[in-house]
Amino acid sequence: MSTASATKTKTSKISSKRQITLPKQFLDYLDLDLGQMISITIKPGKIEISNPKNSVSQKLEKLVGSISPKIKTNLTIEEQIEASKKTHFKNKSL
Amino acid sequence: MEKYLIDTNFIARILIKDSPEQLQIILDFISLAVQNKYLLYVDRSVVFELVYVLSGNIYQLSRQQVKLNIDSLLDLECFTFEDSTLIYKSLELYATSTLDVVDTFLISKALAEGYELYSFDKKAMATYKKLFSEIA
Repeated sequence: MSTASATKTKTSKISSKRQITLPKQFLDYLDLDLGQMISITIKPGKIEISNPKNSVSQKLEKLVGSISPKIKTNLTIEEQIEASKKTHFKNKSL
Repeated sequence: MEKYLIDTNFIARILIKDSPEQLQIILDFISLAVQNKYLLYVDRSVVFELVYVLSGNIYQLSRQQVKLNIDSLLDLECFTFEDSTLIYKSLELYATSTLDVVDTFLISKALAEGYELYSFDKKAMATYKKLFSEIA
C-alpha cells in the first residue's frame, strides 16, 4: 500500500443507480481489489471508505499479545479460564 | 457463509498469544471473516468469562483496563458480538463500580429494555435503583 503525503481530492459522478467509480489511484492507496468488500463509515460531514482487511489487521496488530501474566503460570489458557471462573464464583459466594 | 460460535479461549488467545500455531489458526479464521466467508459469533457469556480471566490472579488487570481491552475486541469488525451495545454499557458500569460484570449487564439490560430488575444482591439493587432514578 502506498502512502499519501497530502490530502488528495477527486470528483466522481453518482450514477442513476447510486453507484460511483473510485479512481484507480484510490484503489491502489487502499490496496483494494476489484470485487472486494469495502467498509463505508458515516462521520460528521463526510463518508469514509476503508479496506476492512487493513482496518482489522491494524487493530489486531495492536491487540495480539498485548497482555502478559503478572505471575508465572504453567496453566494453558483453557485451564486459566476454568481456574478464574472457580475463583470468581467461590469469592462471590463468600 | 459458514457460521462459527467462538469460545473464550479463541478470543483470549489473541490478547495473550501463548501459542503461535493456534494464533495462526485464529488469524486464518479472521481473514475469512473479513472476506465475509465466515461469521464469527461471540456469545455474551464469552465476554463474561474473559472479564473473569483478565481481572483474575494471573493477569490482574484493573476494571478500566479490562474495559479498554474488551472495547478493542468489540471494535473488531470480524466478530459479531451478542448484545454488543449492552455489553459496552455494562462494561462502562463495571469499570466504575465494584459490581460483578453479570450484575452490570443485568442492570444495563433492565434500564435499556424497560425491565424492572429483581435481585437479592443488595449492592446490585442499590445501583440499579440509583441509575433508574437518574433516567426516570
